[in-house]
Amino acid sequence: MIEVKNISKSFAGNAVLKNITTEFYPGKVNFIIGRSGSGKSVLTKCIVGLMEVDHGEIFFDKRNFTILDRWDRKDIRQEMGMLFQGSALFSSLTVEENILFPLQMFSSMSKSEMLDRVNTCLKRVNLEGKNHLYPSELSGGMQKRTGIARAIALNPRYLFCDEPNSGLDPQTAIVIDNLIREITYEFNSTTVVISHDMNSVLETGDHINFIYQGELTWRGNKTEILHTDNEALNNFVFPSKFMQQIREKLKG
Amino acid sequence: MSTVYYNIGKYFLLMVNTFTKPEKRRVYPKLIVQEIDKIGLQSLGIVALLSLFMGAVVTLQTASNIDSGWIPRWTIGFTTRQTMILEFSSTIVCLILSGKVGGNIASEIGTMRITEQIDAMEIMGINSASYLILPKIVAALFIFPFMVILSMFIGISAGAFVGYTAGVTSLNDFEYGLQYSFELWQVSYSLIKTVFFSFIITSVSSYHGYYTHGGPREVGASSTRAVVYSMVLILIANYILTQLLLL
Repeated sequence: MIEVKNISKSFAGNAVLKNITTEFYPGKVNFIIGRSGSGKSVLTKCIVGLMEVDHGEIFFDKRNFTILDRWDRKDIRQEMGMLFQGSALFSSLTVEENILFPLQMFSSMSKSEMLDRVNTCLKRVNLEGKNHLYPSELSGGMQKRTGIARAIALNPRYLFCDEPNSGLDPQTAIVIDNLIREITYEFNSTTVVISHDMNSVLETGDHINFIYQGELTWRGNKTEILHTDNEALNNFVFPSKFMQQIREKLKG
Repeated sequence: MSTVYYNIGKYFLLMVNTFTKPEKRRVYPKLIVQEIDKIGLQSLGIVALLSLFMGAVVTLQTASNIDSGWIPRWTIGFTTRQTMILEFSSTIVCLILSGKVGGNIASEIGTMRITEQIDAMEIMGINSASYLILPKIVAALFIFPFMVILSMFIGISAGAFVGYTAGVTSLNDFEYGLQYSFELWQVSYSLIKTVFFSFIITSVSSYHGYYTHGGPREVGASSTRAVVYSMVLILIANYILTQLLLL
């Protein structure tokens, strides 16, 4: 479980995160949603340690991440996997080399064991046989799946996905959503997903955090979101008349 | 002024990160060999071409400026040797390499930064500075001196060939000039300078690439800054090292 306690973060006096406290649960797909500029990416960067918080603490299964220096954070970081918005695959490496990368750096496996692991990960994301292609030769959806394969190579306890569906067509987005959900349940990982895609949120959101102007204003699950009276959340999730009609139908 | 101090501090912190606790050491030899190929061997062509023409031009210019019968013809070989060894092969070649290699390093690392590849490494727990920058620095420190020696050889050979074929000096005179008052220390001085310059080129370019923010335009700007700062620092270092080593 990841616990975030009273986190604040400012840039040049401008408060981006205001005293945020929440938990992300293992074996569940935990969403962070909010409008652009609401602070959700900053929150995620603070959680994974790419940014330092001004105040507050972050615990990874009771281990206080905020008080550790970069060398001591290494152990926790090796338990993290992250899927980036743009996939962040190493462009000079093939699909196979991308997935081998964390294994070569941190595992004590033999070369054949590593290759087995790569093939298992590729099979898991339905990319068998694509080992020797470069990221530039893959479609957006395939790049995302390769990113997921790389993220799960070391069996992460914590999986972070930054807008996994951005730039994908609706059908491919569903494939990625299902993959994230299946992996979460399979590995019992604590999965944190930042998303704008309301279809994903309503389909796979086991636990949802809504951030509005740097504050966490609502927490709940995909059923509770239909009945909320939080105006900012309703405007965000059901912005059009069409979406509001869908909500009424779903409620019914 | 505070920005200058801030950047100097940030540069030194990056260097501390670069030289501390490398990840799994056995992956480094492969990376260093790749970098030797990328920043060294792939620059051989331009270094050879420049040295060839520079040696030839220095020989012809020296010959054209000797209009007194009192100045011996072997001066041409002597001047070509001194120019190539003391200044051209180390300083000028490194200035040119700062454009080619420095720009390449800054844009490569800058692109990795803006496409979140460096963030991906950091999240995996990898010291990205060490993984990306250290092999480049080690490769440059190793390969640049060889390139400078090659440049000296090509430049002087081209000078001898052009001087002879243009009829401005005989090979005997040129050879006498090459050997006249030769001190091996001058080659060492040139190589010492090269080591400093190669460190400047790779570390300064890496710094500018590593701290790129924004998009492709900023990568271009970082690349330009890397080249400009490397060149200015090479010129300053050249002056300081010459003062320290030759006087």
